[in-house]
Amino acid sequence: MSHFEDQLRSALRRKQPPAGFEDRVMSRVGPRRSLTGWRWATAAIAASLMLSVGGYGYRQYQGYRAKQQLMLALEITGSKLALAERRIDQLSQRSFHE
Amino acid sequence: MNNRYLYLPLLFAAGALGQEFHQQINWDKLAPKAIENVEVNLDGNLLQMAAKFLSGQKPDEAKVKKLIGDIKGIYVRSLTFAKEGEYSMADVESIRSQLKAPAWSKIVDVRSAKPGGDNAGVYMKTDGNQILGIVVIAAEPKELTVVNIVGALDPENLRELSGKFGIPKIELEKKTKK
Repeated sequence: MSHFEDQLRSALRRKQPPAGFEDRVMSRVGPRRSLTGWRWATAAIAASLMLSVGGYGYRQYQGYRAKQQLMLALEITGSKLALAERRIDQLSQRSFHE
Repeated sequence: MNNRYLYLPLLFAAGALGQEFHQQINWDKLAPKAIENVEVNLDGNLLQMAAKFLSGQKPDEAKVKKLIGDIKGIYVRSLTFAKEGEYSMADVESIRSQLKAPAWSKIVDVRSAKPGGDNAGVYMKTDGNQILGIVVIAAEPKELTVVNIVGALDPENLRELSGKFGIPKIELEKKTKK
């Protein structure tokens, strides 16, 4: 075993902290801040944002779908009015030739 | 006060009657026989929603937007059948029988003498110069379609749409503006 390895092992050996170490560290860090409230607020904002975006998207989808349905309704109405017109034309042509 | 508001109770009544008409048709009897079933139910709210998506810049859409302004509902039901004779003329007659005078005026009624011919009817609910509703019934050999447009339709707006969406050229008496 090399001398270097011995030095490394010695340096990395688990040591107990000196007495009062934890207290000194904690006194420097200061009182622990509670992050729970912030987390809840952030989550609530994110959720309401997601709901608003989702709601807006759904309204967009509904509006687009309503427009498509309206166009379909107008197409059907138009084609059936055209059918009525064709039938009237046929009848008037027939009565004209008779 | 805007005269338009005087028509409001009448329009609401027309809306209710129009919806009622469409609900009274026994679709449950006819629909199971159909191979294709197109159903469009647009009430006032959905029409308003659709109107927001119609562009004022595109001429056709702008005209549609103008037309649907006072419409309370558009209800379309179109059934396509695999073969002829899946519905009877009695079925059609039961629909027609709900559109009686004086509330409804028969504008077009074309009935084929031969069985399996095309039949078409256009009915209008009017109050003076105001159109309060239109019903189109088209009974073809393999297709039965009923269109019900509820609400105030301005004939001028209707005329502007003629030639679009397959709507034939409509010759209506022009309003005289004093």
